[in-house]
Amino acid sequence: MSEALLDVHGLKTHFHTFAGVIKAVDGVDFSVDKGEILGVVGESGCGKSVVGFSIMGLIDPPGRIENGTIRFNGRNLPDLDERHMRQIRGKEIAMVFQDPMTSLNPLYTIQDQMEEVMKLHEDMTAELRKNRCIELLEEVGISRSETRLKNYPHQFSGGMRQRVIIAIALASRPKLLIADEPTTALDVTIQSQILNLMKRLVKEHRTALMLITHDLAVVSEMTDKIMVMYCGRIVEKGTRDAIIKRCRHPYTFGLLGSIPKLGSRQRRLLQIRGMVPNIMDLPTGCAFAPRCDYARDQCRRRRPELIEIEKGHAAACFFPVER
Amino acid sequence: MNHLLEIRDLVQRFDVSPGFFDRLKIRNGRLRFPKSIVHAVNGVSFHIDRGEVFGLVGESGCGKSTIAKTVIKLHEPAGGQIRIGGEDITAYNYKQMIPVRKKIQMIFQDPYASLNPRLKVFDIITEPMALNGEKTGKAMMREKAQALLHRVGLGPEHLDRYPHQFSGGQRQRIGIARALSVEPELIIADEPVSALDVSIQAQILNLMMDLKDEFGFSYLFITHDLSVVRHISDRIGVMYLGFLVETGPSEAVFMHPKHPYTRALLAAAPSVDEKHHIEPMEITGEVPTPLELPPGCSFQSRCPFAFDRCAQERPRLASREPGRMEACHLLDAS
Amino acid sequence: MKTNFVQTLIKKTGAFWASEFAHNFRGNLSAISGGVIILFFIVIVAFGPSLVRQNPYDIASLELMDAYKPPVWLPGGDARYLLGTDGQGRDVLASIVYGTRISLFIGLAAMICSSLIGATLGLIAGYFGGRLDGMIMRIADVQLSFPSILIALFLMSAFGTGIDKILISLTCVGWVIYARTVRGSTLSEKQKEYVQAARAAGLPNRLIIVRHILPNVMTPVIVVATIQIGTFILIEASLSFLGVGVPITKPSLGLLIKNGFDVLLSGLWWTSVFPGAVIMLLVFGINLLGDFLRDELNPRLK
Repeated sequence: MSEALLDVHGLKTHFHTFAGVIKAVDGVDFSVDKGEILGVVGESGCGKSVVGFSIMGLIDPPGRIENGTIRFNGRNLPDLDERHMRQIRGKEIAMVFQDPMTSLNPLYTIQDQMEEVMKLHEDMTAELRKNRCIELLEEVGISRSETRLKNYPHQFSGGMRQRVIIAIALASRPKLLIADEPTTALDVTIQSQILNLMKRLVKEHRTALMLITHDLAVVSEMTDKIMVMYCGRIVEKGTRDAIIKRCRHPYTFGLLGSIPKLGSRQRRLLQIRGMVPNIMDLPTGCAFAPRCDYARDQCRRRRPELIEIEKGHAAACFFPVER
Repeated sequence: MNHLLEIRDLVQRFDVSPGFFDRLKIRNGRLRFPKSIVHAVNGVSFHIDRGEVFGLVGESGCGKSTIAKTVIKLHEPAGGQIRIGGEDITAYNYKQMIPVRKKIQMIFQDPYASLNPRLKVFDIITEPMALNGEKTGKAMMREKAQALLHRVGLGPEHLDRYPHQFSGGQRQRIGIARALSVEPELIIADEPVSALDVSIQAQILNLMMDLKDEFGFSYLFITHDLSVVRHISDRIGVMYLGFLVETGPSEAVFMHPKHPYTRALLAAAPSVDEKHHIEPMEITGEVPTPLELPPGCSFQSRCPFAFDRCAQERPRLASREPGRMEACHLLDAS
Repeated sequence: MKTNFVQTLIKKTGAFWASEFAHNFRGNLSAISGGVIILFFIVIVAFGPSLVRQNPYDIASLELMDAYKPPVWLPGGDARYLLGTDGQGRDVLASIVYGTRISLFIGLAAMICSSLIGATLGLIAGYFGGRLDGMIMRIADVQLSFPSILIALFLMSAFGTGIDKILISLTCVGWVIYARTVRGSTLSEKQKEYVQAARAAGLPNRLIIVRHILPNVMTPVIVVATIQIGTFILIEASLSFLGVGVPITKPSLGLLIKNGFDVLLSGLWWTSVFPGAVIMLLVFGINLLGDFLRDELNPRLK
């Protein structure tokens, strides 16, 4: 059995604020293999973005990785000092963010920004760098790439900027790409273009992709594996089919039922009652119990651990939904 | 029979010209000061009947939000007609609009910006009532406000709190209560659930449907999310670059889309369930600029089926099947 | 009824003490220093005259024989005049106490006038836009090119000296920053949906401005106002130093410095230096508080 590219075990990232401790990520285990696409799905505040930032080592005080290991290519990332992490960032692990409007510096040309990454991690002549930039822009589908190199970000539309950002991220052929809501700010037709582009590139170069999003529909079309997060914990994880077609955790079930379907019209959507609890005041036991229709006493007393439902599919629930 | 809302050939433009000196250009050897006009809405016509939900869907920049704001006269229309219950309000001034505003209310997208952070919930909800000359005593107003909050799923203790003490979904409920306060006949909902989490979105959509059934008003529901519009609308209109390209009953349009843009939208929309009935269709390119409209069809630069007529002549909305209209030359050919 | 009021007052004070604002204040050395300094000056302004033996502007209480006595720790000093006396026998300490009151009064009054006028113009310019906006902003630009000294000189030559003339000069110069800041904030709040909701509901413009926009653009005004008090105190001091400021009958700290300036080089330093140090301390305290306020009131992301 080959070792996974990324292996996260027991990750806890907490933020110590004036008002209290925010346990943004509270004990998370998952792995990503080479060339695999993992979807990290959850609503706002569930901690999915913080997982991504923790892997990249971009957690600023008052946040801190309290516990856990993040094994990447055999090394535990939190152990590394800043200098070594910088060598990894951009070269081995790259990140793409949500807002294409602010992810690029408006004062520098596209070429400057693309070359910045290359200058950091590779040893290339100016000529080689320029050719590589042209090559990358064509790869992400930007035509007339040579002329466009000299353009500034404001001369590109949102979709094209995101393409540039993906090009920058993939410039050094990283082994892992973390994409945090990469298409949320884009229109539907552009979103579809960008997602197809990412999928194609990622499969072509055998790059692993961690796709962090709140959009279950996107994740159902893009991913090999899915993990669903709630209040800093994983409530269910498994293959794409297992989660979409055979989910067992009441939260996942509720979430899938809440989404209006394109193929048919229902009278009423399934709704999860109540609200996400205050992250600083989580209930004892299962975090989802107050909103769960199937909750029993045990759920309020003890916190459920992930139990295996079938091979490659686990849910953190004492009483998984019957199928 | 008068429609509740009828829009005919609505036009809206915005002058985004920069200052005098920034406009200075030299063309053909002469000094020119060209204006930059955004053609946001280019002759849109549709109607909404009582108790109906009309979904207006399209990507950013298509003009759907502008239509919403123009209907409620936040912007004066540049052309066309707006009729409410048969009454032509297009040229109404501020005073004439006062009684009309009681009939139309609006719900906004951003729950964090649509409520004044310095006002208490009570003041926010009762503002439309106070404006529309409802001279009720303080106690009566409070009772009414409590009833409204209860109807949207909040408690009387929330009346004296400030918006920042509520979650996004709760704020949206407050916005809905505000709209309901004057018992309108038409509620314009501009992307009301786009900024909410999925599970809260379902709650709010269910609430909106329940309220509609209970009070009998209509919605002009604006969104970019196809699954949401599919769920909530009776009829839909698809917009592109300020033009209405297809309209019809939502079931029919979603099952058998006719306009190439509608088909592309449906093909692109990610979906949890299988969409076997939609054939994959990828369109390339980006939305053209609304500053200079192309002469023919606005979609032809990206349309995989465009032919020569498309670049020359702008297609008009025409009905080929009862209840449905499309603006496309391709459909004429057959 | 009365206990109810007292109860809410105590509760609010308690809540304030526990708030993040108060907590950050307690942890911030510069903020505390600024607070202490300001508190000190408030005490002086309120109780100073009763603490000081002499009213330096009551000619009858002066003793010309006591002129130019040095501070008490120097040879020739007199325990009655802790910081020495000036050329007329006025107790420097007493003069400083009275002078501070005047300086602070001018600073505060001018700030209030400037902020009222400036904020109003800023709201109008930002909300209505168009030509009105352009006009107000052009006047603001022109205004900035006139130093307050020039305006004071003009007013003085036309209308004579007086505190009111100073207030006018300071206001003429000071309103611009409020107008600019408030205009910017107004432009941004105007786009927000709660303003559109109010317009859609049919609220008339003046109510929208007062009820919805004004409370939400106040924060930068508070920060600017605090620091402007200090700025105005300094400008007034300069004006007085040049002789176009306060009249001699109501000397501010600046005028005190001027009065002692002539004899400074003869070694009679205390008449200028002490008032100078006091101005420095006052403005310093204001700036410390202002900096803290600015950081605290800045809307924080996440």
